[in-house]
Amino acid sequence: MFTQLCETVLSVRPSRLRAAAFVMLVAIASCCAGCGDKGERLDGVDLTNLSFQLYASDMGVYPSTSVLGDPNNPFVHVSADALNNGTPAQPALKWTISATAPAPVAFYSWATALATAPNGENQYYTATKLHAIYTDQLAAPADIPTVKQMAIAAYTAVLTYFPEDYGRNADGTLAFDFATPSLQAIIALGGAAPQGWELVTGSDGTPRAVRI
Amino acid sequence: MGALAFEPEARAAGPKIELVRDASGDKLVVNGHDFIVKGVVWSYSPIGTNYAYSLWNQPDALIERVLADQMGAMQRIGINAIRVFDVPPPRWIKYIYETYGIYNIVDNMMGRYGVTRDGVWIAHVNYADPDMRAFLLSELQKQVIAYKDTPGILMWALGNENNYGLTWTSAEAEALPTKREDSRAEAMYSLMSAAAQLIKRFDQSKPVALVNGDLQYLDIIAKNAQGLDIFGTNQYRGPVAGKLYAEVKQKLHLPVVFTEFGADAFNARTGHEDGLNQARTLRRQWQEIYENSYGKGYAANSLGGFVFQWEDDWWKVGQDYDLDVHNTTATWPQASYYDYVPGENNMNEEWWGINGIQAAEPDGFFHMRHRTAYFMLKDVFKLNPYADGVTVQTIRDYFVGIQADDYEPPAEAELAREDSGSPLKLSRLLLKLETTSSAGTKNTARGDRNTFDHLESAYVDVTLQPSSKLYARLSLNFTANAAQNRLDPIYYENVVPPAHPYVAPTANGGKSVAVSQGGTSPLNVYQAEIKAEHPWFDLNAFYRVGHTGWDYEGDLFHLYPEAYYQEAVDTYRAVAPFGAVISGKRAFSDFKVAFGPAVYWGANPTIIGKYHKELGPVSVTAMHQEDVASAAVLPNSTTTSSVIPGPVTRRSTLGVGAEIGESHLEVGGIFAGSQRVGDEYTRAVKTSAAGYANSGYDAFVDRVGWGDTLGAKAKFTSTAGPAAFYLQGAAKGLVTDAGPDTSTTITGWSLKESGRGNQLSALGGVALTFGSFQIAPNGLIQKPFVGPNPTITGSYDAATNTLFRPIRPRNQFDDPFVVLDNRETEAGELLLLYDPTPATRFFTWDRVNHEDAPFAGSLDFVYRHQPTSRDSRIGILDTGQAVPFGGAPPAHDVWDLTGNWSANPLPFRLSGSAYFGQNQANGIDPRLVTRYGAGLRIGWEDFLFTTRVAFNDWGPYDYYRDYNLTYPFQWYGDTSWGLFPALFGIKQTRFGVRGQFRTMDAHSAGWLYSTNPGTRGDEWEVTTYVHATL
Repeated sequence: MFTQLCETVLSVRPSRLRAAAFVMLVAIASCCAGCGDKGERLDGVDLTNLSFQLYASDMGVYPSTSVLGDPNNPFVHVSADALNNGTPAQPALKWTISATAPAPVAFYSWATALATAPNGENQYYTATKLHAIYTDQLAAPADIPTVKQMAIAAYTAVLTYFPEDYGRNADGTLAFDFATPSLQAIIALGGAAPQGWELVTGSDGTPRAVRI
Repeated sequence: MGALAFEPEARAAGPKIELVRDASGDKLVVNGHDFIVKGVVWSYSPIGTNYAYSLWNQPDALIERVLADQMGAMQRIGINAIRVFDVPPPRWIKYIYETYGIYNIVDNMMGRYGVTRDGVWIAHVNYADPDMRAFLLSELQKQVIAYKDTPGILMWALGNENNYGLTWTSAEAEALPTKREDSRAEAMYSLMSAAAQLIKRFDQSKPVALVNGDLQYLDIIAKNAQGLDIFGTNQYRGPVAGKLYAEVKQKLHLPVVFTEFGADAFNARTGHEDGLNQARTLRRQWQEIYENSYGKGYAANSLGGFVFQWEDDWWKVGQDYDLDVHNTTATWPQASYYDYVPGENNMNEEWWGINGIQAAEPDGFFHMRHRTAYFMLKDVFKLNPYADGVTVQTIRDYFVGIQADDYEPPAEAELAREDSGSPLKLSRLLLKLETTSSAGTKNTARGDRNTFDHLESAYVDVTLQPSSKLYARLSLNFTANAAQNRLDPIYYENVVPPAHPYVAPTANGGKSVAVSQGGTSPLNVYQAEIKAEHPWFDLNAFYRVGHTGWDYEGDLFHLYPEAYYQEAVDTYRAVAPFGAVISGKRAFSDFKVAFGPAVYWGANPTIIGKYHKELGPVSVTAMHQEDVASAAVLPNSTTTSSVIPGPVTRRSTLGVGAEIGESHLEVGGIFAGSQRVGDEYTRAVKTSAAGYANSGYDAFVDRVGWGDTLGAKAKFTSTAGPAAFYLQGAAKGLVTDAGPDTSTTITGWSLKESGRGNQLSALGGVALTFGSFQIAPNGLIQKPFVGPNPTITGSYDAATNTLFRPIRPRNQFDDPFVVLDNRETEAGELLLLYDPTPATRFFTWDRVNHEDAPFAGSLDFVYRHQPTSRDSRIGILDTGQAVPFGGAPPAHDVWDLTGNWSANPLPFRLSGSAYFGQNQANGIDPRLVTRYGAGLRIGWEDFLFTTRVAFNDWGPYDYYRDYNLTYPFQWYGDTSWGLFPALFGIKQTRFGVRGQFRTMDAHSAGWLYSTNPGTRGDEWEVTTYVHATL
């Protein structure tokens, strides 16, 4: 067919029009050459069998971003905006997953959010998911002690790097500080309170983490 | 004794001119007296003007003053004839003759520098075309009828070395051609003969001369000599013409007049003005002219000559730019002159005058500075070679007494008065002093308090030119204070302008790039350039100085585009263009290399090499570009959103061009972006099913392959006749990004191909010319191979424990390719043009300076059908960071109607523009903007008034359109009064007042709020200024 097309072009008279026809021939040939295949169909990622794999012992602990290099992390291609930003009607992806998904799935989502948008909220919930993986023994038995230490380190990072951050309700009002449950968890996990931090009981009887 | 008497007709008051031939030779006899032509070629071009300037369009008072000065000086040294390219109107020929006794030659160029026929500008005349021949003869006939009874005309002349025009490619002087174009020459000289005979049908009172380049094609001329009385020749053989006279006598049997001869006064060997060697050359040339005159026993056919030229023309090199620079670049070689060095050019086109010229007064009058030759020629012309008893020996003895050195002191004295002689000069000093008052209404960020601020800034240009081989210019800016209260606060002198006065929409995803608006030093290098010549190469280095591209040298894919950005690089303090070009010479004359941090605005640090070989009508071009780093590593690489450097790339192209009559075919291929092979990308395709994450799209992940780095393009352009047209087709792979097209095809169309890869495109247009009118439809169809990505929100399906990662529009920072100006488009354009003087092209950036038509105007309508959207552009946040927008406005058609015009109803110089259109924001905001406006510029004597209004339009900076910030009404006005010096008729030292007013609504930057819906805010500014140029 291409040969016939060429012959047709060469037969065009006068020469000016023949040259113009040649231009069109190149364009058509280029079009054919430029057509590519469709690539691999993108579908949703089934997280049913997603388990926690120990890729690095500092995963989920600020300032490490090693979780972004973990091939087991399904959220690597999810943008920080999609993970973190949402509205009351359409909550951010991290909240949707946190509410319904198993702890390993939620861990990867929070840790990825933390690595791309560091703040107290992302650090705290990453720590809770590590805590849950340890508590529910959702990692390989050999890794469980390490996961415990990772949870303690993650809670400690809340106190070290984001001590003033608060959790908020959906309407934006302050709900609770992240420091107190973090320090409580560190103690519960058998860790030592970070230097300068102490758990005290307020006049209303509620415990509160304070810096001394 | 035979005499060919050219008898004046009874009604003509002109002289009686005879061409006498006898055994002693040939001579002119005027009114009964022997007459040897002691002439000069004369043109009058004030510094800063070019070939478009005509003294004869100036007020009579100025013309009379100029003639008194210039013709008076000629009269004083004995000049008796002038040859003028811009032939004076008959009344001025008569005036010159009757007042100063100086004759004129009336020279018809016979299409040498192009013609306007039926409204079409034809740069290269085809003398074999019967229609063209008839046209040229009819134009000549009109001229003959208009001039034939004018007293003071010595002879008619035909052409100006038109034989060189058969080979040269432009109007500029090039190396004298050695190859012959016999068939074209036959056509041309037969026309010259016909023209000579035509003249004689109307006027037999004056002889007719041909103006040939040297003796080229003498054999063909001999066959077409009917009607010719004199062989005029432009002669650049150096001090002696040798056997020229004898050869003409033998082959043509005609007398000879040198219609041009001489020597330039710039010594290319030493790099300095050299009036002495110019005079020495002229002395020897005149001696030879006299020796070959009637009755001396040699060829005896010399009638005299016209020294080229009376005074310098500062526009000759470049012709349209550097008009106020006395350029010392030699543009062609001639070995027989005093300053020749083998392998190098030595002919300096801007230095041929026997007089230099000085800066013009406001009305265009300028004074001359006489060179040595001027003083010497006075004595040369005292000799009458026809006087009784004058022999060759007498002439030789006379010239022994004339030594050029003796005439040097007065010329040196004049030069010393004008020039200190230092190679280091202060070439420009611009002082800008401004006071700005601005205010707004209460509901604006500016508030309702009047604010005052001021600007004091100085620009100092220093040039260094130790020789003609080296030129360097450094321009420094010192700003003591920059007004912070301007309505438009982003300008060059404001080193750190305030943050953008708007709240940026949330940018979505991707990394950000820090943006700098410039340094904080009050002293900055504003511009710098270096031009150096070496026997093997020319070097042109530039820092914020524009340059031409290689579009017309085979660069089909625009890897090295034109880089003139005018005020834009100043506004955004861009450090571009910044780099250097090395152009090979001798054995490397087909090679060029460009390199630098930003060879054009938006380029990465790169090196580009080009090989371009002309093989008769076919040319071959090979280019390679290698980016060596990302522009992001450089300060000031990203200063505005419209110019975001692309990813580091590598590009290779191969192209072939072929001339087919008046048509041109270019075909080429490109290989680009190989660094991105293997990069992953996503794409989404609409589906009728639920699709990915119930989005209505099927999504795919793919990787860039080698096939995506390839592209091809073909372009056919035909400029023959009144229906010029072009066709162009291209296909470029996903990452096969080429450069931006800054070239002009046929006319001023605005629809052009996008340089971006990932597209299949076709363009075509035809320009139909009817007299002074042009109708030019143009069309574009383009479609990306992979379309833009929609926004698909990421989601998690708890029921199936499935994660759907989000899909976003691609962007330049995070993806291997994007769909932006290569978006799917079907566009049509209709351009209407009225231009009665197409020789001064209407579609040039400096039209306001050059367009000489009483009225010229264009109207351009462009409609773009855009069935799909595009990917994300890059915006700049108020924090100064460049980040991708999270999306794009929805698919929508857009259109624009623009008009431009200029008029020259003396004494006014007017120009204006108007527009009306509907378009989209650059960012993400979906609001469609329908805007319109107009501008007007009036020049009248020393006053200049400009004004512009805009309705519902974006503000003046890129970020306004990025964030879709519009003003209901904007007005700008500026009126000023000028002092010296003048450039293009506009005086450069100006006092003026500038005003600005705009109304604001909820879509405007800086509008705060109002409890009353529909209320508006206002802002205004008044600036008084003095811009003093010295």
